[in-house]
Amino acid sequence: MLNTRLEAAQARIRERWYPGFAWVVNDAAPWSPLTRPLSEATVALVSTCGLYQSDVHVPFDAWNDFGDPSFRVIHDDTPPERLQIAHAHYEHHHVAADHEVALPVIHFHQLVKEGVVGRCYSWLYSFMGYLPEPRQLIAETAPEVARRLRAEGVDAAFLTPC
Amino acid sequence: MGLIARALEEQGIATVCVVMNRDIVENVKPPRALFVRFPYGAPLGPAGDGVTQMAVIRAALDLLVSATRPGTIVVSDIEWPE
Repeated sequence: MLNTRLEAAQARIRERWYPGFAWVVNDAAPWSPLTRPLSEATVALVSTCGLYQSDVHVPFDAWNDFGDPSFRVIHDDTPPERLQIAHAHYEHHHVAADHEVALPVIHFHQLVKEGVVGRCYSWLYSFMGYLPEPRQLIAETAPEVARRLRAEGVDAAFLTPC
Repeated sequence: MGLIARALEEQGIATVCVVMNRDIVENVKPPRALFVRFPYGAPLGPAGDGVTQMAVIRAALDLLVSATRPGTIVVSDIEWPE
């Protein structure tokens, strides 16, 4: 059941960008408890802040009214100056100045050193969070990322929006 | 982002989301979410503020380990630094 704030936002998005827009409403959440101690677990970082590697990737389609359900894969030793943001729906100041705000690779390596986290998965998965038409994400791209991470032995994921 | 968390969880990967919009999360229902009262574009805190960023990360990881109920939303008490 949508509250009045979401009702108003839904009407605005339908009017301005995508007439077919509707907030996703789920009755329940899926559940997979962590099956080993965090200190032994492999953790992946996932963000929807629209980061991509400018010398390798095509940017996200930031101005598409339907959004862009695709993802980019970035190695965690990629020099920061090769990362750019393609996302037309948030203020980039903080993420552009400091990628740790969205994909906290350095902080997680510190947590591995401290023994809090077992291992940090080396590949970062990046999406663009503006997505008024999420069907392809739900049916294809998000399950594809899930299968890849599962096949790589990832136990847990830490996700940030923007 | 909650939709991605749900897809990962369905494949057996435990997830925790940091979120800035509680209304959306209450409807999408990712498995575990830490709600921070931060502006869009700064989910872990201000640029250059590693102390705040790390505090949010540690709070989210605590939730990852401690939550027992699908759809848990914890409200963070970490404040945006003045």
